[in-house]
Amino acid sequence: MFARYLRTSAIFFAPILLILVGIEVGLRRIPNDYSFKHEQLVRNGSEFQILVLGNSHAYKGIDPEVIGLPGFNAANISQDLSYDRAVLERHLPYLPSLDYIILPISYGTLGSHMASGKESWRVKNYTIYMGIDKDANELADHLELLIRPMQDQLSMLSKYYLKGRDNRSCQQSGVASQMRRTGVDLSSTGRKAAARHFHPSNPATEQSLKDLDAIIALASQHSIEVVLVTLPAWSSYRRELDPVQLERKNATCERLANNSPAVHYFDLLDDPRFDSTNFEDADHLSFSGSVKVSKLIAILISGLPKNDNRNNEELHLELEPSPSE
Amino acid sequence: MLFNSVDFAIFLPIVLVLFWALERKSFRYGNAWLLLASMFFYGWWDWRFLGLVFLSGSLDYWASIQIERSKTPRSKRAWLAASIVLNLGILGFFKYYDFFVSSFSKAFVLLGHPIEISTLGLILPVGISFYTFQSMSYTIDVYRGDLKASHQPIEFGAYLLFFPQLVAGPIERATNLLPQFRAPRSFDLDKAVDGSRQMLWGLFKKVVIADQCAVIVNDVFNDPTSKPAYLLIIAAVLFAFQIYCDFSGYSDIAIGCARLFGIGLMRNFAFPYFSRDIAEFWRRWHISLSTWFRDYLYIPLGGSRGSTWTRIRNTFIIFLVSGFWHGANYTFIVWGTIHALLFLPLLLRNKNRLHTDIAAEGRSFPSFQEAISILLTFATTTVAWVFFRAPDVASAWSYLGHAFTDLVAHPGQIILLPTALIHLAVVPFIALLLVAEWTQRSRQHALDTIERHLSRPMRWTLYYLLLFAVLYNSGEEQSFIYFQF
Repeated sequence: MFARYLRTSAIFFAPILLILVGIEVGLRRIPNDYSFKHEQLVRNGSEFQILVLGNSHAYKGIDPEVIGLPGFNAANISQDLSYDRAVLERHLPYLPSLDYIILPISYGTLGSHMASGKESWRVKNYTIYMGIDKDANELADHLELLIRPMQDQLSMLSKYYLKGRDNRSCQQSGVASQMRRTGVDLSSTGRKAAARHFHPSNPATEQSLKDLDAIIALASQHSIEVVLVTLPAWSSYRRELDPVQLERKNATCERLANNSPAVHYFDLLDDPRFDSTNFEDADHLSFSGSVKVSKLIAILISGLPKNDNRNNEELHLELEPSPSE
Repeated sequence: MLFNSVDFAIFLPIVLVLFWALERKSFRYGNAWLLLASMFFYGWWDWRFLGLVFLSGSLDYWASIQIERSKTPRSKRAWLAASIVLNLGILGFFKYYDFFVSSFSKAFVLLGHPIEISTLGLILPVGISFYTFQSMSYTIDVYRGDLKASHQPIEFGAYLLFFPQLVAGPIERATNLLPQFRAPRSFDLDKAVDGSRQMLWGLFKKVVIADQCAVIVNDVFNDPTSKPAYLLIIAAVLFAFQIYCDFSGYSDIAIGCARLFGIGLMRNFAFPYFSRDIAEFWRRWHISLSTWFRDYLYIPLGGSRGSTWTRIRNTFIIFLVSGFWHGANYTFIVWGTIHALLFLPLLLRNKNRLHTDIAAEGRSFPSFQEAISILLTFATTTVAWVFFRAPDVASAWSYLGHAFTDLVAHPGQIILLPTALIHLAVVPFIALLLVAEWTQRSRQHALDTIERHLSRPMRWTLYYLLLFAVLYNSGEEQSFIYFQF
C-alpha cells in the first residue's frame, strides 16, 4: 500500500519537478553581472592590467576604460573584502598581465559581511556563476529558484526569452551602466547610508583585516601593486560618519601603505572637485562622477613607480574646487 | 523548520519512507525514529530550545509515574501540583516574566515610587505554550485515572515531540494521542491520500491567502493614521482571513501530515466563519485549545453550573486566560474580554448551545436570518481581531476610532470598498475558500469528499492548479502567526 502511495506521489510530482528544473535552468541561462564578469575574467583576463574590486561604490564608481589601461571592474553590489579576496583567488590564474588591483576601501568596508546581512541572498550569485561557494551553506545558496517569489522568476524568464531583456546591468568594462537613478535626494540618503555602513568593531572587522592582508600578500606574490582608494562621498554622508570608525579605516589603509612599497592609499572622500552632479546619491557616484574619479585614479596611478609612460594629457582634470557643495 | 519551506519538502519524504520501513520491523523502532526526526525538526530553529522541551517532558514523565505509584490522594495531588507549578513556572518565566516586570515598573511609576527592575529580554522558545499544555494534559489525565502513565521514555518523547503538531498544535490530549504510540500503526492508503489533500489545502490557505493578506494588513496596521477608513476596514477583514488561513492552514498540514504516519490528530477548526453566534464560533475556532480550557479549567471551576455570579466569573476567567495564553500583551486580554462580553449574554439566557448543528444543514444556501447572523458574528470577531493584531491597546482603539470618524466624515468611501476589493489579487482566492469551505462545511476539510464528485483527471487538474497557486505565490518563507505563542 505504501509503495503504491509512493508511486502515485512520484508520478504526481514528476511534472512539477521537471517544470521547476526547467525554470532553474532557464534562470541560470539569463546573462547577469556575475556570469558576465566571470566569463570576461576567464576569457579576456590575460589582457587585463587593472582589476577593480569592491562593493557598489566601486561598481558604480570606477571605469577601467577611462583609466586608460586594459582592465576590468569585478566589483559588485555589497561585495565585501572576503568576496574581493575570493574573486581574486578564483581568477588570478587567468590574469597573468595584472599590474594593479584597485581596491576601494569605503567607510563601511571593514566589518561589512555580506553573507550574514540583508544581502546574503547574493551568495548564490557567487556560487552559481563564479564557482565561489565559501558561504554556500544553505540550499538557497545554490539555487535561483529559492531566492525570489515564483511570479518574479516567471516575469524574468518572459522578459529574457520573449523580449530579449537580460539581467546584466554593467558595461563591457564591468562598471555599472550609464543608466543611473536620478532625482535622489542627496541630503536624506546621507544619513541612512551612514547608519547602514556603521559597524561597531566586531569579529567581522577582524576578518576584513585578514582578508585585506591576504589580498595584499597574494598581490605581492605576483608582483601586483595594490591601490587602496576611498571614493568621494557627498557632505550629507560624510558629516554623519562615526569618527572612530572613519579613523580606523584611515589608520588601517595608511598602515598598509606605509608597510609595503607595493601598496598605495589615496583618500578622495572629501575631494572638493566633486559637486552634486557627480553623485547618484550621497555615497554613490553618478556616471559623470565615475568618469571624473576614474580619470583622477589614472593620474594617481601614473605617478606610481610601476606605471609605464602613458600619455596623461587625456586625463586632464579641472583641479579647481567645485563651489556648489 | 517551517511547513512551507523547501527544507520541509525534503525532510518529510525522507522521514516518511524510513518511518514505514522501520515500523514494519517494530513500532518501537518507528517511535524512536519519530522522536529523532521530531528533535531534528524542532532543533532546526535553535537546538538549545530542545533542552526546555526535555525539561518540561521529563518533569511530567517522572511526575506521572510518581502519581501512579502514590498510595494516598494527598500524595497524588502533591505530585500533580508540583508538575503544574513547574510547567507553568517555565512557561511563565519565558513568556510572561518581562511583561510582569515592565507592568509592575509602570504601576510603581504611576504611584509615584519608581522602582528599577530590569527585564531579561528572553527569546520565547517556539511553540512553548503548545507543548507545555499538551504535557500538562498528560499528567492531569494520569492523575484523573483516564490514562496509565508511560514507562517508556521513547514512547512518551515521541508523543510529546511528534513534529507535525509540536509547535502550533492541535494541542493533543494524551488520552487520544499517546495510545497511538503504544501499538503498531498500519498504513491506510485512503487516509494517506486524504491527508495529502488536506496538506495541500492547508498550504494553499497559508501561502496563497494568509501570506498575501499579510502584505496589505502589515502595510495598513503599521501606519493606520495615514490611511482612509475604507482601507482600514479592508485590512481588518483581511486580517480575519489571514489569521484563519494561517492557523487553520497550519492545522490542516499538521493533521494531514500525521495521517501519513498513520496517526490521527484531533480537529482544530470547523469552518468558524460560518458560525451564527459567538458560542458557535468558539466551538469551531481553535477547538483543541478551547476544549483544553473547558476540560481542565472551566469544568473544574464549576462550568456553567451554579449561581449566576459563578457562571459570569467562570466565563471571564476562561476567556481572559485564553486571551493571555496567546501572549504577554494587554491586547490579548482585551481580545479575550470582548469575546467574554459577547458570550456572556448567550450563556445567561441559556442560548449558548442554540447552534450545535451546521449552518443551513441540508440546504445549499442559508436563510436570510442565518446569513445575517453569520455576517454579524464575522463582523464582531473582526473588530475583536483588531485588538489581537494591534501592537498595543491604544493603537487598536486609535485604529477603530480613526476608521469610524473617517468613515463618518467621508461616507462616500463606502462606494470605494467594493472597487478597492476588485483590485486585490487575493480576493478571488478568498472567494474560492469561502465557496469550497461552505460546500464542505459538514466535512473535515474543504477537499474531503472530492473523490466522490470529480474524476481522477479533474482531481489532479485541481491539485495541480492549487499547487501552482502555492508555488506562484511562494517566495520568502513566512512564519506562522501562532508560532509566536
